[in-house]
Amino acid sequence: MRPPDFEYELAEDVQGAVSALAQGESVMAIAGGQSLIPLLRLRIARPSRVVDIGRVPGLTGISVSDESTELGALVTTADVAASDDISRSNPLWTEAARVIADPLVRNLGTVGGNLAHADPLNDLPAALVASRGEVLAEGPNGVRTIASDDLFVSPFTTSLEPGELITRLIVPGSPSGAYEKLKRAAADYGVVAVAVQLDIGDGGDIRSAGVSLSGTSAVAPRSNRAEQTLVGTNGGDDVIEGAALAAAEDADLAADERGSIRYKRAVVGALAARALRRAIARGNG
Amino acid sequence: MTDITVTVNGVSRAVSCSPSTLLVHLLREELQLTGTHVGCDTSHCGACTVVMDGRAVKSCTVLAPQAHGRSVTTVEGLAEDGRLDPLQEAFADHFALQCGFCTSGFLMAAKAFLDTNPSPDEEQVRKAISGNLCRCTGYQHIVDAMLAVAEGTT
Ligand SMILES: Cc1cc2nc3c(=O)[nH]c(=O)nc-3n(C[C@H](O)[C@H](O)[C@H](O)COP(=O)(O)OP(=O)(O)OC[C@H]3O[C@@H](n4cnc5c(N)ncnc54)[C@H](O)[C@@H]3O)c2cc1C
Ligand code: FES
Ligand code: FES
Repeated sequence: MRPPDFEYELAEDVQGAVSALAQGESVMAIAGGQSLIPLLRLRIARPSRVVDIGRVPGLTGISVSDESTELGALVTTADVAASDDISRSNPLWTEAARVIADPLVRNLGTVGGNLAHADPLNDLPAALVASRGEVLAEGPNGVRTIASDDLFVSPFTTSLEPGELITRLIVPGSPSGAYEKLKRAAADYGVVAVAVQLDIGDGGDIRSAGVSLSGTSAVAPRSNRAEQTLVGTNGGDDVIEGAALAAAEDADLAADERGSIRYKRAVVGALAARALRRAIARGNG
Repeated sequence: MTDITVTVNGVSRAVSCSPSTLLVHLLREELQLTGTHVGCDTSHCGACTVVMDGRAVKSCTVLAPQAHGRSVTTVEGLAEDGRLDPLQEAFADHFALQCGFCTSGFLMAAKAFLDTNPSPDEEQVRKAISGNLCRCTGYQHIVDAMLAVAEGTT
């Protein structure tokens, strides 16, 4: 189908976008369009006006240090997937970006849009929660920081206020991260996926742990019990098994065309163990 | 209506259209470039793939105004002076098409990929076309054609 008609406005700066978006609920932002345009074509989204933030200056740029990865909201998932700096200092984000959709979608889809869309099947929300990142948001009341645990409210709903835009992602970096996802087909969303980000000390002790899921009923839930199982240990096989089991048991799953609850639970457990093994090996490597 | 200027296959084209127009419809209906196909409603099939500013994208998932000021290459822009692009030759030589519906999309995804990765391995080639569906060939001949171009053995 073709999208319904709407008015179109090209935002020239963040301020302009914010004031255009604050006009009402039927005004929607478009960044890469890779989630919004399919919804327009299926006529699930029916905005009266679309504000194109895709050319707003200042929302691009990747800056990486050992401590953190900072991404402008308009950075594409293809750019994240291809960045050697990110792959060195924050492999969780590289691995998550590389399994998003397919290369064509990644060429246009943005990191800000991937989070703001809050699709429980999207991959970057789980990466953000596991790495305890935060986003900078700018809206009619100014700029604020939103922690990953406070960003996702429910499927397709974030805590962004009307008119508020994600402008930047700030993600603590760690070499001890990994992302595991099971897909039915290359260009499809995943069945489930597991994001892991650990902070491992020189002696191999796990000082902090982040574990989050994609493909569950909630958006990027944190696996608290899995994290508690890991922290303070050396991440041996029994710890990995225990943490993976906890992540699987606590996952709130629903049966659909991608699989039954039992099947998905088994997959969460297997992927969690795999991601943890890789993250721990990287931390000790 | 919005006024849009897009460079299509090297030629600047000015079009006035509704902002809800998809790039694929702008190409097919306003510019009569019907080599770019529409195979689905859900942005999954890649039959509509074109190269925009050097990157392969699904033209059914780009609004016409998002393409304003950009440079778009479609399958019609591959041949030069009536001579097929080596990729097109390789697709023919390797039987990389049967019904041909998906072919223009594959060609454009392959073009953008090989332009930036001139000597890929088979796994990279397979990943590069993972956004394109073909219901006929089983993909192997498409992979063979792309590798032949990369290796210069066409
Ligand atoms: C076939 C297909 C398969 C896909 N598979 C996956 C997958 O496996 N994993 C995955 O993670 N994603 C997947 N996606 C989604 C894709 O990654 C999208 O690009 C992403 O979800 C949205 O980013 P965008 O820039 O395209 O956002 P848009 O589509 O432009 O916008 C999406 C929503 O976010 C809002 N928005 C955008 N940017 C901002 C901002 N900076 N601040 C506030 N609000 C904003 C928009 O108003 C809109 O509501 C798939 C998409 C397709 C078409
Ligand atoms: S027509 Fe199917 S992806 Fe564009
Ligand atoms: S040749 Fe028929 S779909 Fe690919």
